[in-house]
Amino acid sequence: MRVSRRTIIMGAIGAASGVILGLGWRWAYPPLAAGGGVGLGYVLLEWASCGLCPHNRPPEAPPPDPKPAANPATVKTRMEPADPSDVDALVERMLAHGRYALLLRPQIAVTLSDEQLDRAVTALQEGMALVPDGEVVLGRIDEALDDGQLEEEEIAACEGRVIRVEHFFLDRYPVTNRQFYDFVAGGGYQQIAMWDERIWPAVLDFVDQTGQPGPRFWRDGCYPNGLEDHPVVGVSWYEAVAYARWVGKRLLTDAEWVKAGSWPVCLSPSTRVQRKYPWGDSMERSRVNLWGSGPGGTVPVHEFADGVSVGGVYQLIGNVWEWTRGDFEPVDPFHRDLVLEIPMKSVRGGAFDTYFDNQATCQFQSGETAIARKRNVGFRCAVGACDLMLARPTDDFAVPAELESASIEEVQV
Amino acid sequence: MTKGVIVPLESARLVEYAVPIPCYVCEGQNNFDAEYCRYCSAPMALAHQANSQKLFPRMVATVGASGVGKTVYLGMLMDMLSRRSKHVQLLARGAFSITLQQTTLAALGRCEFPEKTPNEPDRWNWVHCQIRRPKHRQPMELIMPDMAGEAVLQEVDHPNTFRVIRAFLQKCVGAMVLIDAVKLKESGQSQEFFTMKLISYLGELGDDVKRGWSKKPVALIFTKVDQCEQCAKDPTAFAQTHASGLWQQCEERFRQYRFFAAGVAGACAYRRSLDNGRMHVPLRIEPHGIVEPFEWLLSKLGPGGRR
Repeated sequence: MRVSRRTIIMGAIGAASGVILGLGWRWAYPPLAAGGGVGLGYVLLEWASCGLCPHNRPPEAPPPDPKPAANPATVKTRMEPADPSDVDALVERMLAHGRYALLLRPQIAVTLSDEQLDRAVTALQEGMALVPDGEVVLGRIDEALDDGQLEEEEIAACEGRVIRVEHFFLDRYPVTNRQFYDFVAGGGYQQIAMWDERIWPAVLDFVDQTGQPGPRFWRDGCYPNGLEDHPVVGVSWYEAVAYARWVGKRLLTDAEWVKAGSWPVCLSPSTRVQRKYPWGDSMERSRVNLWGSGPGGTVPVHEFADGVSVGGVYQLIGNVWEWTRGDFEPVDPFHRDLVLEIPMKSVRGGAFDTYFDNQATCQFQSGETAIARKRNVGFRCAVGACDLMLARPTDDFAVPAELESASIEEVQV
Repeated sequence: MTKGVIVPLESARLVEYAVPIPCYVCEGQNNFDAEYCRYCSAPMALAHQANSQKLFPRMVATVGASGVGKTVYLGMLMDMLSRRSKHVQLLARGAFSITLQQTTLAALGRCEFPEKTPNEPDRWNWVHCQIRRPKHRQPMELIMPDMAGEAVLQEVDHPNTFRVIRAFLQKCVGAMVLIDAVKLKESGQSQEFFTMKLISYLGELGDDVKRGWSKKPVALIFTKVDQCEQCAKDPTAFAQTHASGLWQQCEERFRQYRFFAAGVAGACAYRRSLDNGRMHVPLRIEPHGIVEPFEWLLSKLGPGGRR
């Protein structure tokens, strides 16, 4: 373990104070003992204040970076002051904060250097998976999916809906505490433009355990120590939407979520293959963090790699429920209407405390009120492939004239 | 030839009829082939198991008002304990002991709550199980029936209406008292009054001071806390705030008691029932705080053993 110079100095002061306190005590000389006590108290206070927040601690040996390389945001970059006139620095900051999707908007991308564009594309490829366009069936079709195939008659019998989805990029991992910290530290809760107008009065109430803006289970604006790579939880649907806007993405629609997990293939006009789980048609609890198969809480987003989807997306099933863009459809498994006291948003995928296998399938939809900030609900983001510019346009494929080029300062909020 | 075989068999049956078998709950004398006790309607299988296997299980009560969630709690508790490989484990004894678990889990898996437990004691589900605990060599035998809340209420209001309830509670070594946290918070004191009546009833059962309820462990479990975050956070503070009378009663009557918070559903909606009432529908199942009260109770019961 590397020991910082500050630690050595504080240690020396502490040791000296201890000796003085001891001598004062032994010689029954109160001024000496008091001096030692004050010194010792100072050192203890310093250490205590250092230990309250993980970000205040002096850096120790660099930990292995198990998380996706897309957002290696470090403490250093978080604390750097922004200079709006320094465009290169802004690009660096945005890349460090995982806001590459903003940089890849055609209006911005044309203003980037080749090297910056390459880095943004690389970050996109590392952090997100491409889900191809196509049709997906939504509905209570899990029983029909037992054989992995769906006939038209089965879809009709289950009142399933066939929905077409355009190709899009999807976060490989749920948004982590570390990533969300960038949003919080970057003043995301103070930037009113990020939030739905109707929720403005409630934003002040989106605070952590100590009253600071941030997810519900954080303290002093920081996530709990050691949970940097765990999915962020205790965030409402509105906080998830605001974060997604901040990074230039959006929440997924329900159809997109199901398509990314079940990876449907149309074999013929009347027959489709659609998976019940991202890895196949039967539950294998060793692949997911559900009740009884995990530690009873969240795990880092890169774990349970065996449960990865065909497209390379982790933890679609298990660990945390994920907010989607859509509303919860209040219908029970027998297609009977339900009554909701408050309208709910859709959550999908199951969490570490989900008990039943049939409630952790790609198709299963549950609901939660949009301002709920639960311990087992997180989110991931998506962005339409057509909304991004992944390569510099050649003369043959010039940027459409209607897409005005925007300066990076305009999107950097 | 045939007659020669039948006569000794019938003689044996007559002998068996002549030897009465006491009900394990109320100790009333029953015939050997009775399915339920003729006095209290408890299943005679409990007595047969005790006789044949020389097992004398202890009894733990799960009581509370109607609709508080006793069936869900017990069924879920059984399933969770029987699926775990570490910590406390549960092994059901006898096929009849699995029925409660089966019906509860089938309903929850369909995103429904199980049917209301009928008032008739012979239709209650009784659970006889063996509990294995780490650090304890001897397993513990327990009997835990799923009694109807309305029957308990009747017995509390009019003692001796249900002989089985009185006999069972007299023999219990501990109790889990369930309280609906949502009703307690939203609709006044009916939950609190019922629980206070129940505690008062327990406190006055039996006149043996040494073996009375004042020394038995009582876990007071607030249910449905997924809809009451304040209770989930600190059930004792919730009890002091929203059920101060109940809290005071517990202070006065019990030496070993503790408040817990439990929930099974992650979120709930409603469905209109045929009589235009509202039926709760769980949108997903996420059990919380189910095992903790039971483990606490076991820790207070001491070592296991056959008797």
